[in-house]
Amino acid sequence: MRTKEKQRFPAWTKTAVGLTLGIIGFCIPLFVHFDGLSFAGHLTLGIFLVAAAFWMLEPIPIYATSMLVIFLQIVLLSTQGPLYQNAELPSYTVEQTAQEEVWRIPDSALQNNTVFLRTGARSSEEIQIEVVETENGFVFVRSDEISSGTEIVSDVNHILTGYTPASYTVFMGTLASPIIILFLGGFMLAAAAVKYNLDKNLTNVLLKPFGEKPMFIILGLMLVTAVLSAFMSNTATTAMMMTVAIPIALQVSKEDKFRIMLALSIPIAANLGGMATPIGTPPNAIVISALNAQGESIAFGTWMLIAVPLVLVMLLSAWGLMRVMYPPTITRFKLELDSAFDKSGKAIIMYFVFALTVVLWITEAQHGIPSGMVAFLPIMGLTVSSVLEKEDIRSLPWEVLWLVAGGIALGISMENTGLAVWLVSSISWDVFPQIVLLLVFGFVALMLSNFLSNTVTATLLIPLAVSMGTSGIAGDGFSLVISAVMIGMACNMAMLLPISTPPNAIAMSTGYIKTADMVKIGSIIGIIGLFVALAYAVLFWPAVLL
Amino acid sequence: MSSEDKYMRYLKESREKVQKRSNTIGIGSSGRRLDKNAFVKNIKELLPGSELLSSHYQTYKQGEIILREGQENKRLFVILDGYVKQSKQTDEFEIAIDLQGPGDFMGLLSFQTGERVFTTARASSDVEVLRVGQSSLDQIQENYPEISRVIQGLIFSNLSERYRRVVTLHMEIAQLSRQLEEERNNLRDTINELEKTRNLLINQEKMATLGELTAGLAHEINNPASALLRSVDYLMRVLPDMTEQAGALPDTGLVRHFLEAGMSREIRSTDQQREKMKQLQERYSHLSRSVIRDMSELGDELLEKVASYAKSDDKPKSLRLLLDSHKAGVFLASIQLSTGRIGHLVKSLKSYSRDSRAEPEVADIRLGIQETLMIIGNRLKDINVELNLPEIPMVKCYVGELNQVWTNIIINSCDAMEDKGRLFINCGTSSDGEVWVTIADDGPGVPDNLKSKIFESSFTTKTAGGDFGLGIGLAITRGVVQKHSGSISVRDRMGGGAEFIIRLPAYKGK
Amino acid sequence: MSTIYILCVEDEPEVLDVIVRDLSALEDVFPIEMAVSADEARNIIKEIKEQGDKVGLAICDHVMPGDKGVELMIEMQGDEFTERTRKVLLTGQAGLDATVEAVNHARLNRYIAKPWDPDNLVSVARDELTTFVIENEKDLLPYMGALDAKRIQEAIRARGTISDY
Repeated sequence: MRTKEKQRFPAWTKTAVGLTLGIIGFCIPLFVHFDGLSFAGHLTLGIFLVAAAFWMLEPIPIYATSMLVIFLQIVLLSTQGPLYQNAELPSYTVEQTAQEEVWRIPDSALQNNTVFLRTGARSSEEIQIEVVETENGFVFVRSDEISSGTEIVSDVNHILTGYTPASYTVFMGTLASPIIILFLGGFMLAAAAVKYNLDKNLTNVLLKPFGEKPMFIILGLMLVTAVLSAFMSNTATTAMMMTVAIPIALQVSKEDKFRIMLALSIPIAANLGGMATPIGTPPNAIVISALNAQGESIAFGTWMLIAVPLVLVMLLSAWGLMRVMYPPTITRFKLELDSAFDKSGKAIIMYFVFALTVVLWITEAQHGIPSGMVAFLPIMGLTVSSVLEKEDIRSLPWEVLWLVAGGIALGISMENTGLAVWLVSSISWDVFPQIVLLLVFGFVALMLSNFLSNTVTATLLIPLAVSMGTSGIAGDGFSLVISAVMIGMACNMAMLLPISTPPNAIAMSTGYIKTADMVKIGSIIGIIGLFVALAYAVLFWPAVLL
Repeated sequence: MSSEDKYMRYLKESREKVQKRSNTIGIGSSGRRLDKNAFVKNIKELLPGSELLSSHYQTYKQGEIILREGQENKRLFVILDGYVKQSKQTDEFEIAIDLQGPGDFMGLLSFQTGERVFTTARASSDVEVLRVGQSSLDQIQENYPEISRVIQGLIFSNLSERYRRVVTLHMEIAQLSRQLEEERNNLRDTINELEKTRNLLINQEKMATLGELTAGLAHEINNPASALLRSVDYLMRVLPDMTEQAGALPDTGLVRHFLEAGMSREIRSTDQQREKMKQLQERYSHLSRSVIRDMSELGDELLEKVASYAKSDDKPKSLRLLLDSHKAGVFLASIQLSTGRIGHLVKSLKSYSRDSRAEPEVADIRLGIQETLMIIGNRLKDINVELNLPEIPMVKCYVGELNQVWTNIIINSCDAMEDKGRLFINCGTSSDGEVWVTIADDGPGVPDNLKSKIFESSFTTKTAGGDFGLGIGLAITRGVVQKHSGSISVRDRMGGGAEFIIRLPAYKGK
Repeated sequence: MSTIYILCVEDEPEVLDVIVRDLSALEDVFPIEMAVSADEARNIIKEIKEQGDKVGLAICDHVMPGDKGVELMIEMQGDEFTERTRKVLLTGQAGLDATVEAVNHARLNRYIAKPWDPDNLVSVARDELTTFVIENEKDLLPYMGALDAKRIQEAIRARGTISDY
């Protein structure tokens, strides 16, 4: 009776390929030894590969992959896990030789001119030595960091070598990390705003000054969308703005390109708007948490200071671009913008909490209260006052928090097992000037996140950038902060395809636009965005961030 | 209580009234009171001791005739106890005249005048009388002078009482006839009223039938009308494009070919079409379902022809054009069909409802039956109608009214069968030259005890609230048939169900 | 994702044909199945059920040979599989009784009189299907282009189930 549209590949093949690749990826480091990578680094590489395969091909939901990542880390990499529970570093006390600063050690303790000093039963420190001579099973090495009686790790391939296991609570704790709490606060504000129609009413009020001329309406829609999506999820903002845009589109004939512009303007603005605040989209969280781990904290207001000008320039260029590409034929519209603000007690409480939270976030630099702490104000305020009830709490996008938490957890292990450094160390990055590195990072992030989830892209790339900064591989001019921010921004500029972001998918579903329209404008905006961001990164951000 | 009884009681009451009056007033030449009761009592006291009196004592059983009208009578009867009914025989029946009781005299006139007995006297209860002849009366008068005086007085009083009662009766008759006149007037009004109600009921019945018919017609006409309207809409939309694009095809004759094929296409069953769609969708998986649906309507030969356009994605317009051509043909055929159906319906309706006030015409009643079936077709969707209508003589009739007959009976059958079953309609000529039509169903049938009643105007098996006014349907039907000098009856169909038989005289003229 | 079907039941082929044609704009998202009787409709429903798909909308004539449209709808209302199906009566004649019965026992959603206005038919179908997908489907995006986009967006917004990632 029915023949479904035949797909080139049935859905199960993608699942099967994803699962197979993931499992193979996980197994490779167990069977193949990579020089210079610790045992824990091998384990982490396995986790990294399975996560990358699963995140990219999605044989299981991406949040489930995050949960899998945390599970694997707890089991394989935590102090309390079966591998590390009773493990101790094998010790060897160096033997002095006749020669000054030359020591005899077992050759199993040496790898690529590297020896690990045993600083405790479960901790070690890497030092470089100079090999003088080898002799059946022993090596004579020269080093001024070794003294008589120094204990070194006798087996360089021991599981504890080069890795100090973290407690399982570190991995689990990512779900309660300040950035996650910050997001939770943002989610709850957004849920409350939707529940009491604040988003719609605000839209109607904000759109009024833009009049009835098509180009101004578009500009208004884009600005309002960007503002809302800075604080709400891009997707929810798009869905809400579409309810405003669709009645406008229905006033236009089907041939009028204005429809295309209308349908494109909203996802573009929503995607861009997400960049504006730390809570705008999940990739921002990955960036901020990775930087926090390196002791580089970025305040809420600081983030806005660097992001908002970028967003504005990109919004305006997208607007100008669409004006040229899809000139409207219609000249005037009727807009019905009736706002009816809820004036119930709960709604008033919500408005108050909303306003206070946003103000406190933006002024973080002035009062010094971290945004994660401020986020507890809406969490507490909205539940204590019953503005949000049990059902509302249940329907929050918890899976997004898990997704981010998994990303943060993976980042931690990539850092402290040396995997990230090992991955980037194969190339001599220091020959490239920073501007080229930023461009490469931005481009790779942009390309990947067009096909992958933005958060996943950030998760995979940020640890690499961070390790380049911390390891010094990239040379002196490299700024860890600016590179990470660049990657984060680039992830949010991906809007080439309907699958790039949920807002794109929503816009596509209206049927007003073709994929080609989206690709055309998406690629131009991506490239413009990349270069504008680069310009900011070189000329403006250092003034704010460094 | 019979009218006779009623009348007797009336007589008794009026007698007592008159008697009471005469008793109290007192009548007699002496001015003394003449009391019948006292007189009777007196005689009864004397009876045991008097040979003379007791020899005239006589009893009658209830119902016994004491005096018969026309006989001779030489005796005078004095009623001592019980009641006697006086009546007079006419040619046809007996009329009660009077009721006499204790103290009254019977046979007074014939006894005195020697004429024959004028009224029959019958004991209406057990009666005791003193029966005396002229000689005995003289003797009694001699022996009992005090009685004789009373007797004379009583005779006179009796006569005057009779006279008074005649007068009173006259007055009462006059009054009664006035009442009667009044009641007759009332009755006439009532009859007028009834007549009006009956007409109203008949009208209601007609309206009910009309309602039934319009509802059915609405459906019958709406379906083709929908198809018609929508087909025209579609053609108006695609024809301009078709004419414009026809030149793009290498072979412009193709469009014509597809159009003509569409006009003569045979409709596939939905099952077959589904099967075809499945096949096509497997073959042309890149085509959308609506295109596949249009293709599934093509015959195999046409499918061959479009195959080259359907295979690749680069000629969607040509494929569309050919499919549209075919579809346009299909819709043209559909328009023809629909207009034909509507036209036919309207024609049927016109002849069905021919004006019944016009002169009767000589007609073939089978046509009327067929028109009726057409018009109430929506009721017959689930009914298998088996028609057997051989040639029959013409009938002089009001066609419109006879159509009402068919409608009523068929709808009646539908109701009985709850719109599911079989309907048999036959006709023929009987040996005596009458035309007969039978309309039978295989429903529950008519119970024997109701067979005679269903043509009565108050008969209905329908519950209130549902269908209205139909209780009178078969009565009207009978009325119409009788108006045509025909008859209608019902009997059991062989094999269950009811069969109505309508007989109508065949038209004998040229 | 299971397919959502539109089921049209009408005993007259020409009429069925135009109904399907009017609804063809919806066909690419919601395949249309045609039946000329209640019995055929039952078989189709069974088949759809076996495929694991759904019947989103049933458009039914009332006066048909065999079971009437209203009877079919009441039956559908009683069946768990078709209980949520939106039900539209499209008929030139249904007595008050039948209509009342349909409303009371079949939860009839709409009544369209014949002859119908095609735009009205499509907008009714679109409206009812929108309600159906909002009430029954998790992922609304695939239906937005064919249905009432504003209502679907509103539902997406109110549900809050799609999020950034």
